Amino acid sequence: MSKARLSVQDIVNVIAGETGVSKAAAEDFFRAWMAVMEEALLAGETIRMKGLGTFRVVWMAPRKSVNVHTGDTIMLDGYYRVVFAPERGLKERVNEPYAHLEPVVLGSEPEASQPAAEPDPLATLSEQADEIKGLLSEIRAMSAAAAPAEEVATQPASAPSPAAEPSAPQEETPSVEPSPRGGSEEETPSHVEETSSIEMPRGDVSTDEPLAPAKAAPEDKPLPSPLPKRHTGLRVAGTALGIAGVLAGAYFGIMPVQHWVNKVFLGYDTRAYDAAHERWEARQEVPAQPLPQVVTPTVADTFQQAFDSRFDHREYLATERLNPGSRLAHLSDRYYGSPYFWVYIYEANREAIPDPDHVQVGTRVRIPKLSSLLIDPDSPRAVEAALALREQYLKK
Amino acid sequence: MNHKELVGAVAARLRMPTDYVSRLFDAATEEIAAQLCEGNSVGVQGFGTLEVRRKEERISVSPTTQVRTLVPPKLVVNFKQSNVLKDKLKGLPHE
Repeated sequence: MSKARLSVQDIVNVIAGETGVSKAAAEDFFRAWMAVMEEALLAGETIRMKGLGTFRVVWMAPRKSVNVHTGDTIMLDGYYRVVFAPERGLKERVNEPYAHLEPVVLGSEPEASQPAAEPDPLATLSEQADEIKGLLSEIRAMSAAAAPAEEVATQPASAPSPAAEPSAPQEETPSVEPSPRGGSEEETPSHVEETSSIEMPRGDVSTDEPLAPAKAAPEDKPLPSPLPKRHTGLRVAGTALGIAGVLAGAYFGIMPVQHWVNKVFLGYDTRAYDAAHERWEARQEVPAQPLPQVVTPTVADTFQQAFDSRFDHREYLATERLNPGSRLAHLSDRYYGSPYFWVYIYEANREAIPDPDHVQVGTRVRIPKLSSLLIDPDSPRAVEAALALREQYLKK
Repeated sequence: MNHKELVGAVAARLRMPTDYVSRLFDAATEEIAAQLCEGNSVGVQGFGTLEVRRKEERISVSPTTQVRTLVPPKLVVNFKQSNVLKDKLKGLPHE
């Protein structure tokens, strides 16, 4: 940010030039000024200056710290510090390049601590859900065809492992009807291990099982309605397979789950993860992307359509001539109701605006007519898309 | 100490009329403010440095309502005291 560092001499020269006094006199003045300020501050006084702001002395309380070499707790002494609070006028003047930006409310997100609702992992989760549904419908079709024979076949075929399944998965999927054969719990781990043993050692699985599906459950589409009781064995076997698949998907897809499993059951070193996780979290700092995608996929899709086709139909609301001091963001605010959407004005006038940061006075800009989806300041998606474009254009 | 008192104190030290000091004062503050707006920093030996820092945009969460707000980036003026001044301030008594 800082371009140049000016010394007293530079300031003194300007003062002398502007007021017509000699440089020596200006320097005397400046030294006297600083000396008076210092004296006042050392006396504990607060100095309020017109045009700049307030200097005052604050006491920084002693605090504990840790010696990085020895790990000992040490006490840092308290000290006085001069703080400067710019007065309102200066504050606003300095912040002028960003003055048009306003805070955007992104909506509440109570589960921010455990970010399970990720766009990418979610996609895999819903794929998993589709897979499960496909499996189930296959099984249903199969059993409907072989209805009479199956009653005999089901019992022995599913006896050793799949029949043992019901107990564990059914806790997590309430839509599945409870099975009569819940007693054979001790066999559960061995089977699950077969399907997901790649990443989970034996014995951990049974305790681990409730975790991931519990997380996945809210996003899962409701499973098909319960079948008659006699198909339970086969169907449950399919469900178990599906859940194992979801588990594996969750393990590989959702970092926190993977991390949790590694840390709690496998005792892996998690430091590398923590760094990765920070990066991962930083990546999803993008405003509230997960929520709209999950809750209203159709809105997202129509939004994407509108976004992609924003160049297709060119109608213009108006043509504006840029005056000194006007900014694209101001135009955006006037025509679209929010300063964030200036990127679209820029896109429509790229040939006239070489640099969006420094628009030439007198440039004629056309204000494109945009889909209301794109310029809805209440839609996090729209704001986010505009911010992404902004990043892209300002980088160049 | 307000502006008037400060100007008076400087004038007394220089043995100059206050309107003269006041004129220099306005020129100085205006120049410093202008330089800060340009993004330059102003350093005074033995006193400290005034500079402009950019605060990145961030997401703030209201602790009561959990409402997340994207706070835009901003430029703020920061004063960093020089070590000389810091050492002098160490002499101050503290209760």
